[in-house]
Amino acid sequence: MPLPEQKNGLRLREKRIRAGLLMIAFSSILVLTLIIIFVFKEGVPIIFSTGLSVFLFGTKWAPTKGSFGIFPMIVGTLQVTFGALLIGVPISIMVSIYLSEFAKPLTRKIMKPLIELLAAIPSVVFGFIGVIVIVPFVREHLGGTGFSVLSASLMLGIMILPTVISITFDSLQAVPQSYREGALALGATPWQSTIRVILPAARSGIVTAVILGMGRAMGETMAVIMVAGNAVVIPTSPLHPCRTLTSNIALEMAYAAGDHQKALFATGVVLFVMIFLLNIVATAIVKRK
Amino acid sequence: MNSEQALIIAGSTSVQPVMEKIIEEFKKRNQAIKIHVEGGGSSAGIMAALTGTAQLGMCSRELKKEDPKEVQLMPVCIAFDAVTVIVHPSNPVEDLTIAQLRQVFSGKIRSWKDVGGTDRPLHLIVREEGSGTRGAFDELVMKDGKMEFEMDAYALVQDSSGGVREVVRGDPDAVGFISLGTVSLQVKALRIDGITPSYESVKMREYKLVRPFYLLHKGKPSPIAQKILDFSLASESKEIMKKEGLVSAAP
Repeated sequence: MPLPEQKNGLRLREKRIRAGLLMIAFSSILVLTLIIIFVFKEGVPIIFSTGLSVFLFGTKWAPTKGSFGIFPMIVGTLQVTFGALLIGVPISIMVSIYLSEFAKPLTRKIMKPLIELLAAIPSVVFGFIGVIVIVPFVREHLGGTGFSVLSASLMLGIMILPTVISITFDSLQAVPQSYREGALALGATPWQSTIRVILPAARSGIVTAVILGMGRAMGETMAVIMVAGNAVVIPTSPLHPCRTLTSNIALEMAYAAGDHQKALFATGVVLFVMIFLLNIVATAIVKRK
Repeated sequence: MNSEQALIIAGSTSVQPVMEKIIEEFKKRNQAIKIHVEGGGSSAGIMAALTGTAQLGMCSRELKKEDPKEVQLMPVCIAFDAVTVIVHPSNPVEDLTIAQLRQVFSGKIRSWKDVGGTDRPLHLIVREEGSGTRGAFDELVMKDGKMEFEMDAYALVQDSSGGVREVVRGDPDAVGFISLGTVSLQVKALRIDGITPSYESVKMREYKLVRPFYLLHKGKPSPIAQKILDFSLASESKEIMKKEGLVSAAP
């Protein structure tokens, strides 16, 4: 049995280690808090001096002349994001179903890492491909300048594939084997068992995948700047250009001073609140099951 | 100011490339002096010169009334740059007047047919708000006396001269404006009011769309800053500017 002094020494050490780890754990939250405080401190005053509704629903953005309306960019962000989901999610789910339920083990072994490799490609490379391939294609075959909501959605749709596929695949794999066996034993074909049994069972995982894909699409900046055209208009056609909230900040930050710069921070505040709300909604959907 | 400190020149990214070359040459003659040339944009250059973060600010447009306390700043014009309107090489249009440009960029004219081209839609490419090139274009083209025209909202926005040039290079219907120094052979520069933008036409003051490049300082410049100001107007800098497509402001 250790002497009481020794025991105390050990306890003290344990406590110190625990306190140290706790501090490290909190440091990441601290950084997040500081970022939030900083962005809000810089951005919120101008929202209120402009007027919340004018800022959110105003359609005129001329920051060097004192007009700060970001409604076109909110619309642009939502259009591009949902456009990307419309294109990326069905493909991702079909690919995942194939890989998880129908592919031979060897095919799966080769395809899965290749798809994951897609995530390692830097976004500026996607943007480059967008400018060289997608934009001229849209311009020549569909009209307009090619720099459009459609081009951005197509590109982002491809960019979210690895995220959505990986998580959907994992959630399909997590469905117990007995479900498949049960369905087949009842006379269902493999396709019927996949659509009626496996997919519903993996629903919450798929929703998570879609949410993460949405976050990826909404946060993407560089590649979108390169293909979206960045005009501050409310797009009424998929062939119109648009500007997203993230693009707005990245585009104008270099030259902004004074109120213009504050307005860009305010754009960041709005983006932050939007992503926060979407996350809450998404978490609620997953929990409801 | 501490003499150990490096001298900082910050501001317009249009002025930056030529300033870097001038300072490179300057350093060959004055090796003991540490100088940093940084970007940030014209507005940032004005702010930096005002607050003293930079001893010299670079600015590629006229100072505006809205600029904070511009009276405190002394602008020294070092060079003139031609804002050049560029189109795709296949475009048959060669020449536009300033009045036509104003109509084109404010969205009043939407087809190349109306300015002597083919019946194709006009695709406008502009720079982002706050850019010096955009500010100069607004000042030189979009203002007609007291009337101020707004850029067409559907104009595509690029955040660099290179970006504008690349879009125009790829799109047969595009038109944009960039600094003369960044024009390449893959795009066609238009004549404005019949004058081809070039070193000579800027020098002879024939070409209309010309903007000044300024170095700004607050109060009396330090001896080193004064040396740089003098060197920027010296004949060595003249040659460097000519290579960059700029005309020195030195007499």
